[in-house]
Amino acid sequence: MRQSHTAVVARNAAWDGPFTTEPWEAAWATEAIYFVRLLNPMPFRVSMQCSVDISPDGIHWVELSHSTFDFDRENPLWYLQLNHFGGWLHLSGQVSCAPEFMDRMGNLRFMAYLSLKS
Amino acid sequence: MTRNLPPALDLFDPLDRILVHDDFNRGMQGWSGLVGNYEDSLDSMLPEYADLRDPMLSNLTVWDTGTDGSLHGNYAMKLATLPRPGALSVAIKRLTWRVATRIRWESIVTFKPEASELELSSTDIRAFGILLDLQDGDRKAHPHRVMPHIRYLNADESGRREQWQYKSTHRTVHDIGGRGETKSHFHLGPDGWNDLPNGGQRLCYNEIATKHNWYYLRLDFDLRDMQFREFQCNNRTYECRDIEPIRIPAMPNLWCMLNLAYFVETNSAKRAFLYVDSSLLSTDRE
Repeated sequence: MRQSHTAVVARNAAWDGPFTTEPWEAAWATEAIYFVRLLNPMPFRVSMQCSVDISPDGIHWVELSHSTFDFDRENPLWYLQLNHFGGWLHLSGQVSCAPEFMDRMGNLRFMAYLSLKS
Repeated sequence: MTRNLPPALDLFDPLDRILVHDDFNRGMQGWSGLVGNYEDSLDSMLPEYADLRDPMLSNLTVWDTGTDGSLHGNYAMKLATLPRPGALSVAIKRLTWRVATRIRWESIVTFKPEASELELSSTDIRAFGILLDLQDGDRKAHPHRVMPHIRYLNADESGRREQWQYKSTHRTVHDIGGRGETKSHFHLGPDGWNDLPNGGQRLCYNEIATKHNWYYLRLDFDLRDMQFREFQCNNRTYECRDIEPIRIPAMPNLWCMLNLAYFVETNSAKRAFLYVDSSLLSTDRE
């Protein structure tokens, strides 16, 4: 049977600008999906520019992939599929919204998961 | 007694009944992160629980020599803190007990800071440790929840300490949410630790942050009287009958709980890592 593991890499994170998740070791896995869920969707659109980085040692990082997610009440959950990533992964990016809603950004709470499979 | 066991088991000295032998070459095997209790919203958990980091599988890869691997294979369980002084990572495994007997928990572990600087870094880890979270059975008169904690205080703000410690006291138990159904207390703070008698011990740090030497740990605890018996790290055995674990009144839904947990705390703005090669829990055969 194949090994699998879902890691919570951010739990109730109050991202309202630049963010980064902690490095995660994934050498045993051949495929991965980062899921990002906005726990409390707002009546306005929240944009997230994301970069997935890989590393030979967990210290020095280089971009593998990037994407942009737009969260709203109909789309609170996004994902990014990955393969051929070596031993380490982390997710970083920037959360933003339209200027008139900036004062409500501090209320945003995110979950981020890394689902790995051998 | 001569036992014909594979090396991964023969390095342990279990009691008669082996309940669990977790070799992390086989995956996480029920070890997971610790989340604070909450009600309705994650915002309701005690703030000390919010940034605890969860365990992962590691092949112990370092920047200068590549992959170390674990003691008997490729993978160990790794606890990694945030890079912030005082940050913690916790791994927990949750069981319940069948018979109140002596239990023995043995582990093969090693610890290192993240090798992000070309320095000795031997005081960058504050502490690592183990704890049990136990509760009496539901028929016991005057039942308790009992939480034996043992940690190795490697260093603190004042410098190198190299001292085994235990904890007997606890913080206030808080009601979580508004329904009176959930409680929580934070038991891994820097307060309340006492030195284990004669508990100074120097370990094999081994010169640079990328060399991993494995250590043996053994904790004997008795579920009959909920008291420590012995603790061992490598060549040193500590008599623990006279030290008290944390004891609080029993909670309404934790009967016969038997939880095991590892933790690590950083002393600097650098990630602290605790690696667990394998873990074995055994009991007397009733």
